Amino acid sequence: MNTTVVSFLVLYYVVVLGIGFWAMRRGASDDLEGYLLGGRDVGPLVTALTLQSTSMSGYMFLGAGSLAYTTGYWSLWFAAGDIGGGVLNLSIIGRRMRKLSQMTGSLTAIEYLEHRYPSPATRFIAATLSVFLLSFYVLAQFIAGGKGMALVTGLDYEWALLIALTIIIVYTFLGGYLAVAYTDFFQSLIMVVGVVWILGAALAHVGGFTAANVALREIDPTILSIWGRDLGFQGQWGVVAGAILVFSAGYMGWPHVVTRHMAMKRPGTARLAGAYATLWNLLFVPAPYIVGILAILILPQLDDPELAIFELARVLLPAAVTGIVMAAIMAAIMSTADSLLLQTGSIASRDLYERFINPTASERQMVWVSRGLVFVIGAIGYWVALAEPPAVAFIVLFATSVLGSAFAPAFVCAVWWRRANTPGAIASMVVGAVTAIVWEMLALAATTTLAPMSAGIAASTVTIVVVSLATQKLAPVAPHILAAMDETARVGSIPKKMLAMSDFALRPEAEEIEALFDGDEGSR
Amino acid sequence: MSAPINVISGGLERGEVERRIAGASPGWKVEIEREIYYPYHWVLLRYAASTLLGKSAVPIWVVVDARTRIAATTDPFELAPVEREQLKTTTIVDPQVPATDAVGIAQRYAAYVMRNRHKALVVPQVDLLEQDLVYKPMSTVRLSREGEQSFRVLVDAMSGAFHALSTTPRDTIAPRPQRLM
Repeated sequence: MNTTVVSFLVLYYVVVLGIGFWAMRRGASDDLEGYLLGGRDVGPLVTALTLQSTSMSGYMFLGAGSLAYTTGYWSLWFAAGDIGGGVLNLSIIGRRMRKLSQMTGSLTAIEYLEHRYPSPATRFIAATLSVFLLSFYVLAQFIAGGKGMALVTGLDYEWALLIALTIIIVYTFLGGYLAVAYTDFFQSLIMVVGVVWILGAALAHVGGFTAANVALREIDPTILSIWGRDLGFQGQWGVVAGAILVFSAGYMGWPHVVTRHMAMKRPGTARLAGAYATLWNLLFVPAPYIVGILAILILPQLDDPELAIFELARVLLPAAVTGIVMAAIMAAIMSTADSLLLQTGSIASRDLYERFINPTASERQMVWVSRGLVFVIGAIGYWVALAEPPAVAFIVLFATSVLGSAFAPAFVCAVWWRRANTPGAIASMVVGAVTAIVWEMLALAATTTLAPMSAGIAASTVTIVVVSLATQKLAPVAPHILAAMDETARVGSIPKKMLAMSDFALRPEAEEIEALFDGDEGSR
Repeated sequence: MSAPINVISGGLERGEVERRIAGASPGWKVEIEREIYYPYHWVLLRYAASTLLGKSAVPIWVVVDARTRIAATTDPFELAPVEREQLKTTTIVDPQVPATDAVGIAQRYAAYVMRNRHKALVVPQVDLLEQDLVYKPMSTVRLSREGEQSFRVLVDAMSGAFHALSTTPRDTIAPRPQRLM
């Protein structure tokens, strides 16, 4: 155990907890709700980094580095999908989905799916898949937390895993401090500075990009190939497509939390926050992959590739910086695990227990159902992570592939295809998920050159089209949904600029006022 | 004499509403048709939960649309009582959601929001501190241009946000399903 590293790790937590404690005390007396709930008063930079920090997980620090260490430059396909994912999501479904969510009053992605494809089966299948796959994702965080804790403290993995898991679960049960904007900002700033610092130190150590590439070519020229080490994926565009899709289309499957906030003043930070978020992605997303590639040169005999970034930090950075960076990474892992457990528990209690088992459940009963599930996930997670821990990258890619395969076509068709109906969407979710799982379990990528994500998305897309067309008469799309989808057409000659600037959160009020005035006035 | 209504104060003036809409639709003639006061139940809650660092208590402002039951957190605002007689040229939309229902909706929404912010599976205590029926100023604005079909937009006079109103007859649109919140 490196005492300096551990000291700075402790110092980091003291600072983070101090900010949280200060915010909690202040929140009891001051008007803290403005930035707690709306995030408007903290400026675009803090808003952007706060949002981004919540999406960082153990995958970025263990999985991405490991993928790059074992496959070389090929791993950057995943980074390309991750960077482009936000743009793709925004351009394909983002604005339309937000509009339809607001019109239908949906707070979560599962509610949104049920409103667009009305049926209890939609909610049941979407919620069950989400609970199952989020549990997988949490398992990856447990393993990442255990490995990180073992490296930092010098404890055996078994004990480190138990400590990490206990902290995560106790934290989820009791809560530590409010996840205020400034703690998230501080954490994300340390993460990005830390990873970029490791990248810079690694590049300086190997003599820059050109020297690194020359050295890598001497070890194995295929490390530099876009087809992977030993050209293992040469010409396999189905596998490449899967790598790109997993973090672009795959993200469409994650359940999101949406809250409504009514502005009493014009918010001016959103656009600038978006620009900062894009800058963050460009800076942060490729860095762990490149660090993993450089680790091939600096640490060629690494026993566990998942620890490539941790080990590089330990070798290249001053002990104090290593302590702070490792603490930030551990905080990110625990924060992600905590959020995922909360999401999983909420979906299980709200979308399954309250909806299908006990419709009159009290708040207390719902919390205990959530806690029970979290405890079961923790127990199973500990057993799996101890007995035969799968690679963090494998778990994350598996869960994201199945979620994306199940949900991406349903989300895209929800806003782009008027004929997408409930039977089509339900069949698509089931077929997409089953195809991706079977593809992974039977290792069909090797024989078909199609990644599970590619096969799953293809299967679910064909299914939603065929089943929707076949059942149009049996289950036509409800008129209120068609009306909401036709919003653009219904307003006729409205200028494009005005349409782009419209606030669809006002839609419910607009509908009420239309209904009131239709009695005494139509459109002129 | 009827009781005054509580209006959210500080909204945009008529001229500023017209300028904002004109800026978003160059070349169109902009004309305010109606000034409206739209009803919300404003509910001030205190969300308290025990955490590892002690008891956390946060005040939350929530508004519940008094016609659609949709809840939202809100920025703080100031109220001004206005006599109904002073609002003869203004349309005051009647509320349809009872105040008791609105408090329940607000409490449930606040618990949902704060649990996600708090990131903890705790049973919160959500106490009602204050509530009131408040009216937000809005306007309907008609936009017209020669050779084009005219249309109307609803403008939120507090934030300046706007949304187009339908140009198709309302009887062609079926009602929305019941909302969850």
